[in-house]
Amino acid sequence: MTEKKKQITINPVTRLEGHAKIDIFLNDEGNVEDAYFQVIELRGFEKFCQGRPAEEMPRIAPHICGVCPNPHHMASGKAVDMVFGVEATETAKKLRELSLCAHYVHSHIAHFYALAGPDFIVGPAAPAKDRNIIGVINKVGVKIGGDVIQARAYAQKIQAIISGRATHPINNLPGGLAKPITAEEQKEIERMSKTLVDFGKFTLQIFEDAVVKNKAYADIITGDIYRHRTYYMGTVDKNNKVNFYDGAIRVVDPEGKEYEKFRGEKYLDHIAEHVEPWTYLKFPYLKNKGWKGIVDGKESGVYRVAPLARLNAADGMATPLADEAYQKMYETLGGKPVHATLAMHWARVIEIMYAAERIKELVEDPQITDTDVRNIPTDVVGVGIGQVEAPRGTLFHHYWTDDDGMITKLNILVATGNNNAAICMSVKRAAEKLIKNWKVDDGILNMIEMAFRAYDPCFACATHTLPGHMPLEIRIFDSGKNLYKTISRYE
Amino acid sequence: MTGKEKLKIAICRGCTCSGCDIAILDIHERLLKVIEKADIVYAPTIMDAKNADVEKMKDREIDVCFYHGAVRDSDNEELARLLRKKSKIMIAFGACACFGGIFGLANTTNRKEIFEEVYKNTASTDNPEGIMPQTEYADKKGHTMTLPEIYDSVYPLNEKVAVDYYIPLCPPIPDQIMTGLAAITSGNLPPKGTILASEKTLCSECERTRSQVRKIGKIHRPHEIEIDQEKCMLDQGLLCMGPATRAGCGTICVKANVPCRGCNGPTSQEYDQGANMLSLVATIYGIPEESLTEEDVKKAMKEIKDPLGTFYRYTLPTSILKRKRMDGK
Amino acid sequence: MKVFLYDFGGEIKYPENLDFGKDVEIIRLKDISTEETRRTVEKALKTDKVVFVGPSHRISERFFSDPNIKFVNAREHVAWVGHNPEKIRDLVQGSIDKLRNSNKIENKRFLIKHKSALVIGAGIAGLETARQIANSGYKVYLIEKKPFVGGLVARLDRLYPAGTPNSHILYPLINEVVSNPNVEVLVNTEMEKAEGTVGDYAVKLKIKGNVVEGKLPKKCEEVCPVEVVDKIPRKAIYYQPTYPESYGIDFDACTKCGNCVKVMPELSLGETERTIHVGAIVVATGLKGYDAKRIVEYGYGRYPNVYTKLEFERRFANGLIKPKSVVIVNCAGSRDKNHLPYCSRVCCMLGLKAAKLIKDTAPETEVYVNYIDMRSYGIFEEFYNIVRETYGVKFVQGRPSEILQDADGKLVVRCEDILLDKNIEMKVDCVVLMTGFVPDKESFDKLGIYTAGAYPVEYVNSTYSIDSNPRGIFIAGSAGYPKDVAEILINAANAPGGVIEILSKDYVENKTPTAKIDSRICSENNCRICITACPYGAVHMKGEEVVVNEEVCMGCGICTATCAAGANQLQGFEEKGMLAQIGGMTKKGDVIAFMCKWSSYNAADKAGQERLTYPENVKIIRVPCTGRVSAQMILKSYESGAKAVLVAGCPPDACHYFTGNFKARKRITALKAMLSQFGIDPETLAIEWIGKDESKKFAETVTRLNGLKQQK
Repeated sequence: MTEKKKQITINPVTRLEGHAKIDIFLNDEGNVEDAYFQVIELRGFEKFCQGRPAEEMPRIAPHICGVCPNPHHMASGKAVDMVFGVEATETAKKLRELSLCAHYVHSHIAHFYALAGPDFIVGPAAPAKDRNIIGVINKVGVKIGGDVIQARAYAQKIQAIISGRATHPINNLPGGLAKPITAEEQKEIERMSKTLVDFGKFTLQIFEDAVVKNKAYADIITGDIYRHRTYYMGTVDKNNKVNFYDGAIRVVDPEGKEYEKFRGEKYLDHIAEHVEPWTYLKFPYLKNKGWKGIVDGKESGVYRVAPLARLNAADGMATPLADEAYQKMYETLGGKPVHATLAMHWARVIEIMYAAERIKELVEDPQITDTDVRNIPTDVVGVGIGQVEAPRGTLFHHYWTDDDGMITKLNILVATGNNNAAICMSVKRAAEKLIKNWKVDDGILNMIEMAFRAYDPCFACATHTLPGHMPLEIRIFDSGKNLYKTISRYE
Repeated sequence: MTGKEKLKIAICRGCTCSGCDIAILDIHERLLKVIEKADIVYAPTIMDAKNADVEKMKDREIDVCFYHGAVRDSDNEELARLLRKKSKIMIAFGACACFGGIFGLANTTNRKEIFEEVYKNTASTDNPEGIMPQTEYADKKGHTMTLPEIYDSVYPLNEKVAVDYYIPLCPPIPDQIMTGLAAITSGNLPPKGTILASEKTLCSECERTRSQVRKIGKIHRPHEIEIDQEKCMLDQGLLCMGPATRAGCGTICVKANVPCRGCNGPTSQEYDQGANMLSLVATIYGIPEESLTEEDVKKAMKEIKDPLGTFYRYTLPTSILKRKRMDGK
Repeated sequence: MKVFLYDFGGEIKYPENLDFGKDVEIIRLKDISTEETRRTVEKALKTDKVVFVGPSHRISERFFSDPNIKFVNAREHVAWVGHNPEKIRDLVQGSIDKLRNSNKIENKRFLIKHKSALVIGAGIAGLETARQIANSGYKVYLIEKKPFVGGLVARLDRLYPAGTPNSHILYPLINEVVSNPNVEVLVNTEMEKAEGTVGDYAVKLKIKGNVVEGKLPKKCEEVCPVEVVDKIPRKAIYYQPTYPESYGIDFDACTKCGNCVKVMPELSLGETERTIHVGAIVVATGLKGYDAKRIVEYGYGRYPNVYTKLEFERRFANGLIKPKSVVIVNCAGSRDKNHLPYCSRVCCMLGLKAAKLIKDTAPETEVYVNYIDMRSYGIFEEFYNIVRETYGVKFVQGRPSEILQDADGKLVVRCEDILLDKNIEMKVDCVVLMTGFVPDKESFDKLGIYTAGAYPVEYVNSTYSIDSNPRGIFIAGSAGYPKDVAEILINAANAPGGVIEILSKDYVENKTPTAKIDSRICSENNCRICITACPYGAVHMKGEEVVVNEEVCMGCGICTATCAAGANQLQGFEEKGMLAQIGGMTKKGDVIAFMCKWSSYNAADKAGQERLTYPENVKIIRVPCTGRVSAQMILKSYESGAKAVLVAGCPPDACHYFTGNFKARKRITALKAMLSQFGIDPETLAIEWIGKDESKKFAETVTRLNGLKQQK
C-alpha cells in the first residue's frame, strides 16, 4: 500500500436548518486523525441591526431562523422590555409563555416523527428506503400521519392567535403585546390544548413501545459511540423545574452537581465565545473553566444545551405527566446526569408532554383574557438582555442603545451555537470509532448522521417523503489530490 | 416508476432562515395532495439528495425549482446557477429571493465590518489574536478546508440568474403557494416574470377605518402609544408600509395590531419601495405646511427614526441605490 | 422618433456626429416660426415621437403647443453660457429615453352639451350675472334659497359711501332680469347635489313650496302664528317688494300649520325635486356673517341692545330703535386667531356707513367707532374724513375687551384707547358689531371645489393663469371675497364672460395634461392619500374609485409624487419616463437640477441671457412644480452618477400650485436623513427657493454644489 493522506468531505450535510459540511482526515493507518464540522454561512445580524430602532428588534430577530422564530421573538421581546425600562404585564408574560410552549410542540413533534423517529421506530438497520416517515406510518398506522399533521397545525394556530403569525411572530412590543386575546380565542386554544395533551401522552407511549422496550435500541442509546461527559445548561424556575420562558440559568457538571446558577442578565460573566478559522460559527464555552479545545470532561468549558441538557440541569418537570416521564427516563438510564447523546430524543418527547400540559395550564388561567397586556414605557434605559430556552437550547439577545432607543450594538448567542463544540465532538467521535483501516461504507455514514441529528441542529422536518438515508458522497483523495475512490449513497 | 410521469420539484436554499421551508409544510394536509403529483428530487433542508445528484441530472430535467433565500455568498450563487441550468422553471420563493429580504439590510455594511463585529467586537467573543474564518484554511497537520466566500452585498435571485416567477411575502402563505402549485401542475402558467401576488396595495384588503382627511400630526413609534385596533395605522401616526406594498397576505401584521413592514414587496409601478413610502409620509405630515419654518420641518422629519431600515426593511437590494456607499469602495 | 434641431442661424453649435440609433431621425430646421415648419412638426407628431431641440421651453411652447413634444433647451442652457456642445447630446438622449418610456398624452375634450347656465344666488351679483348671460342668448336658471330675490342688498336701506338707497340699483336690475325670457327664476330653491364636468352638469334642486303670483291677501299674514324676530319683526309668511310678486314662506320658521293654505288654497307647503342640466355654474351666494354669539365677551344674544350691522340698520331704518348713544365696533372678531384670522375688507366701510346713517337720521346721537386700523382704500379715504370731520363721529382706536350691561340697562364698552394710552369705559344705549364674513363652504363642497375653509376663496379664475384647464364653475360677487356693491357691478363681467365663452363653443379642451389613476393598482378600498395632497380637490372619490377631475386638475404632479404605489401618474411626467430621462442624460459627476417651470427654470434662462458662468456639468430637468419631484427621481440621479442634486422652486407662498414647494421641502428634508444612511453626504442634496429673476442665485448655488466632493 502506498502512503496516502486521506480527506473525506461530506457536502452538504442535510436535514438541518442551515448550511454545513464535514471534513474527515485519515492518517496513514486509515484511521481518523481529525474531523471538522463546518458551518458555511454567515448573515451578520450583529452588524446590520445597528442603527435600527430597538422596538423593531422583536420583528427583525425572528428572521434569524424561520424554524424557531418564536423563541427569538420572545428573547428579543424580553430584551427590549429592559431597554425601555418597563416590565411586561402578568398577562403578557403568560401569553408569551403560552405561545412559546406551542412553538415547542410544533418543533419537537416534527423533529421526532419525521427525523428521529424513523431510526428508532423503523430501525437503524432497516432498509434505507423505509427509514422515513412513511416507513413509520406503515409500522404504526396511517392515522398517526394525520394526527401528527393536525397536532402540528394546532400548535401553529395557537402561536398565530397569540403572536400574529407562527412563522415570524410579530406581536411583542416593549412592555408586553400589541393586543390581547378574546374570549373566543381563549376557548379555541383551550379546545386545541386538550388534543395536544392527548397527543403528548400518545407520543410518550410510542417512544416507550418502539424504543425503550426494544433492547437493540436501548443498547444504541446507552452505547459509547455517542457519549460525551460534558457540562449541561438549562433554565429552571424557582423550584428548579424546567421552564422555557423565564427563570435562572443552571449549569451542572458532568457528575450532575450544580456548578453555576445565574440570571440571564449576567451571562457575560459566565459564557464566552471562541473563534476558529475553519467555520463561520463561534464556540461558546464556560468562561470560568476556560477554553481547552473541542474536548469533553470536567476540565473543559464545553457545555451542552437543548432537551437532554435541560432535563439534566433541572430537578424535574413542572407538570405531572411530564414529571412522571422524567423520573422514568432517569430510572431506566441509570440516574442523572445522562450523557448519552441519543437520549436527547427521549428528553425531547418528555418536553412535548410538558409543553402541552403547560399550554393547558396557562390557557385555563382566568387572567389569560385580560386586556391589560402592555405597559407603555416612558424611559430609555439603554441596555437590555433577554434570555429564553429555545427548543434547541438557551438563547440570548443582548442590545445596547443610545438615548433615543436606537440600537448601537448587539450580541446574540443562538441556541444551537451553544452546541457547536459538542456537535463537532460527536461527529469526530463517531467518525473515529466507526472508520477504521480505510473502511468506509453506507452503514457508517448513517451512524455519523445520527450523531448530529440528535442535536436537531436547528431544523425540524416535513411530513413527507424521505428516502430514509442521507445521501452522502465520500470522495477519497490520495496525497496527489487524485480521486482514488468514490463511495456514494443516494438515489 | 409506472404510469404518468410525476413532476420533479426542487427546493433550493440561498441565504435563508428556512421559514420558507416551513411555509411549504404549513400547507399541512394539502401537502399530501402535492406528493401525489410531484416528486421532490432535491431539498437539502428536509431531505437528502445532494448537490452532486443535481449535477448528474440532465439540463432542464427538474420541472420547477423553488429557490428561497438571497444570494450573499459563493455557495448561494453556485447553487443558483446549478439549479437554473437543471430546471425548466425557476421561482424566486419568498421575500429574500425576490428582493433580498431582511438580510438585505446587510447592504448597509460590508464583509469586513461584519467580520470585525461578529468575530472580534461582540461582547461575549474572546478572540485576542483576531482569528477570522478563512475561505481556505490549512490546520497544523496540513489538512486543508474551504468555506464559501461571503460577498460584500446581498443580491436578489434575479440579479444572478433568470427568474421565471416570483412569490413574495416573508414567508409566503399557503394560499400563494397553492395558487403557484396549481398553476404549475395544471400547466396554465401566467406570462414569464409574473409576480404571484395582488396588483393592488395592502390598503385594499385592510379593514381599518380611515379618516376623511389623510394627514399625520405626529409620528409615533409603536411602543409609545396605545394602538387603536380599528383605526388606520397612518392616522395614528404609525409608519405603516401598506400604501407601498402589495396586497395578498390578508393584513396579517395589521390584524395583530402592529404596522405593516412591506414584505410582500412593491407594486409593479414602484421602482423603489422605500423612496415612495418616504415621499408619501413626508407629503402628508404636518399639514398645513405654510406656517412651518425650516427648523420646524427639520425637527418634524427627525421623527422618522431609521427611514432606511423602516422603508426598505425587506427590499434594500432591489432599491435604486441597492446598498450603502462605503468610503472608497 | 424624430429629433428636430434648430440652431438660430448658427447661434447654437451642435456636436459632431450626432447619432441616436437607427430609429431616430435627425432633422435640421431652417426656422421655427413659419407655417411650413409648424406643418412639418405636426405631421411628424401623427406618426412619430418628437424631440425638439432649440431655445428655452418658454419660447418653443409658443410655436408648438402639443404636449407630446419633448423640448431640449440648447440655447439658454448650453450655447449662451458657453458650455460644451457635447452636453446637448446627453440632454437629447435623456429626452429620447423619456419619450420611449412615456404614454401618449391625449388632452381631454369636454363637449358643451347644454348651452345653459345655473346661477346660484339671486343677490345683486347673481342678478347681474344672470342678466348678462341671458342677454347674450343663453338660458339661465337663477335659483335663490330665500323666498325673494335681492339678497343682502334688498334688506339694506342704503349703500355706502353716498348712502344711495338700494332701490336705485336693485329695482331696474330685477325688472330687466325677470322679464327676460331666457331666465327662469326659482325661489325657495337650493342645490342638493351637482355632478358632471364643464358643458354637462346635472344638478339636483330642492324646491320648497310654490309661487302664487299676483295674489296677496293680507289675511295670510294675519293668520300665521309664527313671529320671526330676526332683523325686523315679521311673520313666517311675508312679502318683500322685489320679486316674485307673491307671498313667500320662510320655511326655516314655518311650522306647517296650514293656516295660510286655508286662506289661499293654491299655496303649497311641500317639497319637490328637480334635476336640471346645464353647461356652466356660477356661485353667487354672497356674504355670510360670522356668528357674533361666538364672541362671548361682547354679549351678543345676552344683552338686548347688542346688534349685528344688518339687524341694526333694518331696525334703525324702520324706526324701531332710537338710541341716544351708539358704539360701533369695527373688526369684531376679525384679525383674531380665536375667531377669524383674516380681514374681511368691507366691514370698516360698513361701520362708517352705519355711523353716517345714524347721524343723517338723528344728528344728536352720540356715535363712537372702535377700530384697530381703518381700511378706507381708494375713494373711501374721503368718506372717512367726512364722517370724522363733518359728522363729528368719534373714533377710538382700540378693540373692546368686553361689553357689559350695568344696572340701568345701559351697555358698558371697555377698551384701551391706544392713542390716549389709557383704559376707558363708554356707557351707551346700543352697540353695533361689525363682524367679518365667512365663505359659503357648503356650496363649494357640493361642487367639489376645495377651499380648505380659506377666505377669500382662491377659486377665482383670475388667480389661475392661462394654462389652467377650462372650468365650468365660476364665482361672482362676494362669494369669492367680500366686495361692496360698486365693486360687484364693476367686476360683474368676470363670471358671465367666462360662462359665455364656454357656452359659445361646441367643446373646450384641456391645455394642461392631467394626472391619471391606474385602477388596476388603486383599489376600491383605497388609501385616498393623494386626495389630501391635491391643493385643488381635483383628486376625489367618485363612488368607490379615486379619480382625477380633469376639469379641476392643474397638472402640478404633487399627487404623483405622493402616491406610494405608483398608481397615480401625471401625464407627460410619468415616473417611468422621468427615471429614464435621468438615466439617459446623467454622466458621472453631474449636478442634476430639477427646476420648476414658473420660477427657477426662468432664472436659469435669465442666467443664459446674462451670459453668466456656471459649471458645464449642470443638467437641468424642467418640472411643472418641485412638488412633482419624487424621492425616486433624486435617488435615480445619484445612482446614475450625479454628485449633487438641486431642487429649485418658487419662493415660499409664491408656489404656482400653493403648496407644492412646501411639500417638496418636507420630502427633501426627510430624504436627506435617509441619504446619510446610504453613505451619501446630505449636503449634496439641496432645496432652494429661486425666483424667476434670481439668475445669480442659481449660478452660485450650482457652482457651490459642483464644488462638493463626489461620493464614489
